[in-house]
Amino acid sequence: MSSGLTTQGLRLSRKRVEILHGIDLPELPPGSLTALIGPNGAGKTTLLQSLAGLLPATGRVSLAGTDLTALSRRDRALRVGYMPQSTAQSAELSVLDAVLTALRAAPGGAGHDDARKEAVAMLARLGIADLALKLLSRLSGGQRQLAGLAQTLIRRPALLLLDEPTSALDPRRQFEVMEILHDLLTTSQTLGIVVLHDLELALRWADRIVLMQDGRVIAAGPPEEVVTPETLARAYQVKARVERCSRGFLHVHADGVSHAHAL
Amino acid sequence: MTDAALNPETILDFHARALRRRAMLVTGIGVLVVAFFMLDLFVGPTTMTPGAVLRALIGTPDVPTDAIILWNVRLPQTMTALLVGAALALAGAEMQTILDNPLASPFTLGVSSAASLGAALALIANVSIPWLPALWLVPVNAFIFAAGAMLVLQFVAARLGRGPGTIVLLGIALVFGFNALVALLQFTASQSALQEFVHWTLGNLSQTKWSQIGVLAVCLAVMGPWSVASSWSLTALRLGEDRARAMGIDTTRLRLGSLLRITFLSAISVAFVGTIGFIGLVAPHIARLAVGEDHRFFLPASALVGAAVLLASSTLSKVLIPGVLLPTGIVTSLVGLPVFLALILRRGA
Repeated sequence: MSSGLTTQGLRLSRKRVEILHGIDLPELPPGSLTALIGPNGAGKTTLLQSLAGLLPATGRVSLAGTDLTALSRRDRALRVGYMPQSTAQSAELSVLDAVLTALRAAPGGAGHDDARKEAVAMLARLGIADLALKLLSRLSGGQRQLAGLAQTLIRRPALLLLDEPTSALDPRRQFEVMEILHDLLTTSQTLGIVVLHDLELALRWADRIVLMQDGRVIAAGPPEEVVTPETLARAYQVKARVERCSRGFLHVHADGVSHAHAL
Repeated sequence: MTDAALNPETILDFHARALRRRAMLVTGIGVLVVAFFMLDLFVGPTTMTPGAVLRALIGTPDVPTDAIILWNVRLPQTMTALLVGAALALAGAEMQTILDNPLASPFTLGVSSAASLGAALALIANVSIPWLPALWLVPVNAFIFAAGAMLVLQFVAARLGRGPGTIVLLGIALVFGFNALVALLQFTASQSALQEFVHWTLGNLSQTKWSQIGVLAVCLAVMGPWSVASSWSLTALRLGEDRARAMGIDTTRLRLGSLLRITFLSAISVAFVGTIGFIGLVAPHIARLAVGEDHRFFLPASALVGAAVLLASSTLSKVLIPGVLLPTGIVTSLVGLPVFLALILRRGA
């Protein structure tokens, strides 16, 4: 029996137009971080929302041998955590109250005092403990993104789906968040799938990369196999070099727009 | 990352204090409601000392007329102010949450306009259910139309599965449609029927009977606890639709339950007292400024603020012009608006 996530023939149509064309992901093991990359409109968010059960996709999504599509909304939510891309939160709620709500509104939420301690510990781990008592409506975009991340992480799902969790953060915070995320996934044996537009972050932190284009997976596997000049030219229509630095990390250098992208 | 200036114990301590403060604020507003309730009982065109009112209340009146005035005139009006204020404010608070719109109130979606059409049909065109006693003709008509409008919205929301934007737009369309029909009826109305109808639309707490107060009380007793039981889910909805759904909350069902509560709370209120529109919009704002949007505190606070504002309006409607009982709908806006503006300006929002 598989201990990770697999999908078979995941399809989604809207108004009779197929958006996801039968996604078959290779098995993604627990404790690993998969970066979902691809150009705008490739279907990354749609795939993430389908995996979260927010969109009515057909096909099989299996997590640790359990068919997620057969579960009730509440049972699925216990296993899968989803952080949307939007950071718009105008609620007159403190960051701590928002995290507590995420913990207690969900089925099987923790008791009052345990929940409060757990929520503060999560905020401290993300380095935003000093924002705990600030109102969401008074935060910057980046601070709201971190608060949103805390709301998702606090529920400790087995599958974590994050849609561009670092898009509003400065480079230092991007790095720190990815580091925390990586540690958290490894220690809790949680599987993370993260939509990223920043290829450098994907190459630095992801164990696996899934490259999408037009609702299809065009490459999936270890970063060095997926991110190549050829796949970048095909998916993004850019001329790029992929080079390994002296510290062993892969880097992408875009040199221009490619017009000969059909492989 | 920001440097953590506060240690976890300090944060938990501050948070516990904030929770206690919110609970105390809700209790404080509750005490204010009791005070306004008593004040409204003490005030009226007939001079009665507070002592005489209290003795009449506990069944030992100084003179028999005290008991008659209290039980047939003052207490019904005061009870109506209490219940209608709470019901409209609670409905407004839920409406603002489920539509993610601070301008929403039960009347945004056409409840008031629909009720007005129902009342106009009864008062102007004599269209109503034939076997009903006269006391119930206008309220029943108003309720049927108000509830009907909300059911149409519920049906559309469920059928289309669309977000709050569609519901608001459809509600606005209903408002214009009903207002046009009401205007048509007014255009054809006799002078006496028109006068009666305009009086109804101004909102009046003094015509309610004990049987109607009973209906209001039962409605609030059922809807209030049901609403508070949905507190966590409604708070989660304020964190965003997708986020709430990802927490396992069936937001479509949550909205439909909420719309059902709003339907009963607002339609029954409007049916009995006419149009009192300000409470449903402003009371939730005042409550939000006081206790924030943790719905465990926000919903009860909204209901209590609504009750306090309408009780104060009821008292003022009796004393503003000596010897004249002003329609409460007018006074509500005159009382609530300055309070509301003062709060907004003080907060710098």
